[in-house]
Amino acid sequence: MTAADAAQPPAVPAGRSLLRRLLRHRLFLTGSILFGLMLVMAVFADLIQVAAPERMHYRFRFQNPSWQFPLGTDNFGRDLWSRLVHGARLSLGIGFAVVVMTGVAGTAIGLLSGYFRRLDEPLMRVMDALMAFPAILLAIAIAAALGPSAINAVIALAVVYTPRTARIVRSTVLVVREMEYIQAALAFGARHRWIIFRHVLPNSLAPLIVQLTFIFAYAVLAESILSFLGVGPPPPTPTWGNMIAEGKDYLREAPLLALFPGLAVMLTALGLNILGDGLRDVLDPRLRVQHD
Amino acid sequence: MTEPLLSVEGLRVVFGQGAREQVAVDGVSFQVAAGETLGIVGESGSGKSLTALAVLRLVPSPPGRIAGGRVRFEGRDLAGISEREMERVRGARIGMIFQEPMSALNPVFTVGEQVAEALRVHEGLGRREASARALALLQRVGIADAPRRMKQYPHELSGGMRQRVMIAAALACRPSLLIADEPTTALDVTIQAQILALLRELQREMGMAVVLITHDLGVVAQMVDRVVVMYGGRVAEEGTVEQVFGRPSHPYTRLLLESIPSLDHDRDRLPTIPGMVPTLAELPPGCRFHPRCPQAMAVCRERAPDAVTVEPGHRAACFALPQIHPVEAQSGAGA
Repeated sequence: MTAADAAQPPAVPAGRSLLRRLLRHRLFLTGSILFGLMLVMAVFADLIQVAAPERMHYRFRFQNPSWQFPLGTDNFGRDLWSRLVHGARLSLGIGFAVVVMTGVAGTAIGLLSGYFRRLDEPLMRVMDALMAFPAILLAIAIAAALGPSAINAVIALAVVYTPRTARIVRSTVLVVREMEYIQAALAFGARHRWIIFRHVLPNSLAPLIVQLTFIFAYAVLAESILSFLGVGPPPPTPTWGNMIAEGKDYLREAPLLALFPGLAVMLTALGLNILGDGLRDVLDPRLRVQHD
Repeated sequence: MTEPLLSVEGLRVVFGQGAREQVAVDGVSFQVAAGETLGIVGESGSGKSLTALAVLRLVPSPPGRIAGGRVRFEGRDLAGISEREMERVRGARIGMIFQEPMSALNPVFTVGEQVAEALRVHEGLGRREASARALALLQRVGIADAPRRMKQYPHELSGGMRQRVMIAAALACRPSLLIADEPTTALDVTIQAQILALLRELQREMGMAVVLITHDLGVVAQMVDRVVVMYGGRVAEEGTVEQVFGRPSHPYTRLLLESIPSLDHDRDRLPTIPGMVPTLAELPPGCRFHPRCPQAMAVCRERAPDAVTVEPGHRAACFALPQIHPVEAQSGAGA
């Protein structure tokens, strides 16, 4: 790679050809189909449920999959399929909220510390301090301190993932701010705010978008861990983590209880990861080497 | 005599602090009259681009800073005005174009949007008005099929076209001064000639002054009225093109001119200037040029020479010159 290549940030190409290239990318396509299925489940949960997710059928506990209960029932006789699709809604909802919060906070911090060099030291030292803790441990600690609820889980995960995002945005901004078009914009009399939002941000988006798909995957995984450990949304809320936690007590008698939500978490994370890989290949091919 | 449009006096730009301080531009002075073209020539690292950035108060800071000198433009001291007012000078009163039309355009916006940018920033025009003006500007700088071109992204345009776009953007607000930092270096020779012709034409039409920064002496000879030759952050020689090129007084200028290939001299080897431009960290004491100068004397190692008036309007900073009209010593003494 020549110096000129390295200095030129990836251009976000015009809409139509980008979409075409994405659809031609097999990884991206597979990932989006997987993730898309989960999304459909989450969005249409009310339509595709066969019973209310909290409704207990005492006469039908531990049922095997059947026409009445597509994935069987759990220890309280609740329909597993219905709980699973509502769990998708919550788990993906939490994941999405984490992505939005992380995206906004991480971008803001990354832009500030990358563009205004004076803010770099203080901001990045705080981010380093947060990154010094193992991610999931810190999330558990924050979630436990705030109390078990969906919103607190979102806050905990956003706090944990923001530093990583901020670092990635900062490193792109450091490259972009040295571009001659930034200098040109300054010479045209543009203000810092204009330059940041019009020139720096759009040219720093590609790695951020890729990173956010991975954060989505981590957040879904981490949310189920928090729920599993009892610091996520409290039962009987049907999150995937809660379902796995409840199912683990009957792992020998009814392995399906933990298996289906576990599969859902796995497929979501897998789908998002390969979707992100594909996105990365198309948006920013230079990152490929570093990630693998 | 009326006040010049731009007057730079004893400009100093330094990098670093305290003991590690390095002087990149050292007491540079020059003036540009309205409508005039001034060429600033020098090798890479002679401080010519930094001088231009300092005029716009755009020296990257930290690590750099403007440590001294005065810059007067349109009767105002640019060092004394607020950042807000400075923003209104940049782009509106002083336009600037850059060496690399490749990287001086933002890859994620269409060229039309980028030409419109200055208009939106300075004249508060709406998207549509700015875009209409941008179209007219693009047509003016000779972009064929401008309505289609303005919707394209920089990577879809050739280097020459991109430089035309840059010119359109820089001139959008009709500045009275255009600073062109190596505008043709990245272009091939035929395109170079077209761009220079365009610049000359626009300059006449808009009556603006141009500061042309280049290391291409051929470009200088074609384009400018007066030349400032810079070496090691200082002005070596200054005068009209006829004076400096016809009767070069500073040894550096003489050597520069001799190293141009010529059609009427049949020479086996082209003379070169031995050595390299010193880096900021190893600037020699005294005259910056003495290690490479064939006429170096003992005094050159000790003190920096002051500018000497060789003939009216023609000055050079060299001890080897007869000291007929010692000029008020402002340049070297400020250090």
